Amino acid sequence: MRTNTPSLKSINKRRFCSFSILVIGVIILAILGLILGSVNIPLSEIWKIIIGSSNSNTSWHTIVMDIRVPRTLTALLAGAGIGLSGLQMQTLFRNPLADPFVLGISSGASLGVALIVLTVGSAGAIFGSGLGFFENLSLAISAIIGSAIVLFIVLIIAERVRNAVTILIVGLMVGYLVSAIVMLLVAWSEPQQLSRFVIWGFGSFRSVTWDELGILAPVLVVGFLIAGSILKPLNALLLGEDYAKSLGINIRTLRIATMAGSSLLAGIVTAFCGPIAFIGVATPHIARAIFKTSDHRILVPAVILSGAIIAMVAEIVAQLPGSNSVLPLNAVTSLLGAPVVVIVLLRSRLGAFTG
Amino acid sequence: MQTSDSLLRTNSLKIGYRYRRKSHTILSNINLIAKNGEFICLLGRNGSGKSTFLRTLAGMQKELEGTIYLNENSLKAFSNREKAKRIAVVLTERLQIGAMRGRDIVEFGRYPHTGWLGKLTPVDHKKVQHALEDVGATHLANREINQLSDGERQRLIIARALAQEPELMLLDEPSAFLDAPGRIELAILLRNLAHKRKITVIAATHDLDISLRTSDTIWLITEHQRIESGSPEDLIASNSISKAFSDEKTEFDNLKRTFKPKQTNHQKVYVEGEGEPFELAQSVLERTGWEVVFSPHESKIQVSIKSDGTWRATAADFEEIGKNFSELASIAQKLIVHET
Repeated sequence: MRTNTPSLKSINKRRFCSFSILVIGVIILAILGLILGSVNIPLSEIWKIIIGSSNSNTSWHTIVMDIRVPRTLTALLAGAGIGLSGLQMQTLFRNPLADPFVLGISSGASLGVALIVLTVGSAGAIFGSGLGFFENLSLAISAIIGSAIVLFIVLIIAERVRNAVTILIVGLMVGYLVSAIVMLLVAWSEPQQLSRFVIWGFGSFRSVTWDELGILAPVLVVGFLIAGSILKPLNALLLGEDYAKSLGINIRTLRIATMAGSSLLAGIVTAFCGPIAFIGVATPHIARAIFKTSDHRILVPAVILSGAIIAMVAEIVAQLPGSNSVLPLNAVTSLLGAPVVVIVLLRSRLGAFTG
Repeated sequence: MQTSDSLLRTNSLKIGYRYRRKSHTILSNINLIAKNGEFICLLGRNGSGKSTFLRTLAGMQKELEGTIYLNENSLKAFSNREKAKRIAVVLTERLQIGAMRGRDIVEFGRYPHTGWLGKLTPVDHKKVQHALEDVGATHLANREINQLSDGERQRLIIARALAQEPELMLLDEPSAFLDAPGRIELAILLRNLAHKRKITVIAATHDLDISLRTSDTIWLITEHQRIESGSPEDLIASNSISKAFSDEKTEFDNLKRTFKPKQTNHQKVYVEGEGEPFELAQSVLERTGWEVVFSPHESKIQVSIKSDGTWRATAADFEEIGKNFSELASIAQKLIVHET
């Protein structure tokens, strides 16, 4: 027996430890997200406010309940969602660099958002502050449809082109194309809507209201459930489409489910948080590095947890603890994520899916 | 014809591709029977349609006309999952898979038999272990896939197909990445699996001599876009193999079961000797362009070789002796007259 090959038992033990650490990480970062901010509020007081037994001043109450809790919840959910979307796309395209942002799926969602914000929005409601439920819903649907359409187009092209890098370039081009349409909309829009749209484009978890969370959270849960229902066929897809077919998997159904799931996740997050860069591509690689497996039964929960962690870290870094200024979220995620992409590119032979 | 022990049967099968409502036929009028536990090699030249035929049998590609029967039921009647429980495939594409261990690959074979999460029961684990043992890959079970050689991966992929517990196993050039001993080992492994586990194994291959020596039956794709079936010896005796593969530059040696370059300039040599040295001397003269004949009278030179490898070459106007085959080769080259 080789000594450098761990037994199944020790692998399971190590995986259990890794999962425990990730869960603890999520909890600690969530608490940090509640504590950190321009106003100092003691943790005990925050807890009292959350469980509703506090009689402290109303400004603290507002800060905690209307800013910090939704902000933290959004970062947690959106990070998990965008990470999972990235994992599904990497398996679907058999491409280690696929993710909603890189493949232009987020641009599709942006177009959906721009159509609502820059045209319909001009009828009166102002984006980001006090859209009604139906406006929010139409924003979400529009973004999801936009991302689904772009994903569909890129997937059709990927059918013909097998090379991983070419598909990335195609994704970029489709992204530019969609951005061009967005630019036209921008050119015709009012300055006030425009500035809102530009700020939305920086990406942010802090602008999401409870009303918006009411749409974001259930849709994300549906996306998680879809991913959970196709763990086994996604694994089989790792062997390649022909082998998956020979194992009795219906490729067409699997593709539709994966596409629906990942564009739902990417679309809804983009609708409310803006196009979030690099979390989608980086998270699956980090999860694979931690658990040393390509098995989706391990990776899906791992990506959900580590995506939440990465998003919360990015959010905390973006608000520059101790200062009053806030960085654009995408500046932070790009700083963290772009090196990961470069490392993956350098380590894998181009064009090969090495996971 | 008795079909009680037949597993696979094709009826007037026509295969090929459909592209924009036009169909392009590759092979037609295929009427074949594969018995339970039979090891069949599918032979044919490059581009003759071996892969297309296997893909059609596996139900991965639609036939143009005709029917494929598995246990006397049309293949179309099976669901994907039912098909997967009966037919396993080994394809030419190289696995590009990330962090996985050998055992994980083999466990994929249990997919058609497990629930939605793919959880393996103790029985499944036992079957995976059994498959690993059958292909001699137990030592690869805990190794990382991307650290294995092509041959080791191939073993695991075949173990995966075995773990699927199929009735029919289809392999597309399974020996493509293997070295010479590996190819023979693989052929023997497949034959044993067919005979012991009663799996019908159909393998497309370019290893002509190995398949002629190991398979029960040969399916030969002929130049007329048909498939001829028979025992290796019958197909050799009827010159079918020779006809299917030979062209103006090569000819098939029925006894040696290999191809050799056709001799075109008809300069004749007679070789006298015994055993291995005799065979080797013949090969030296053939590769230098001589035609070996069996009578000294019609030959231009005569070579006699002794059991210690020393030789004597004689002709009308000269005589030469030497100790080894490279000396014989240089003399043979010097003496041959090339046509311009």
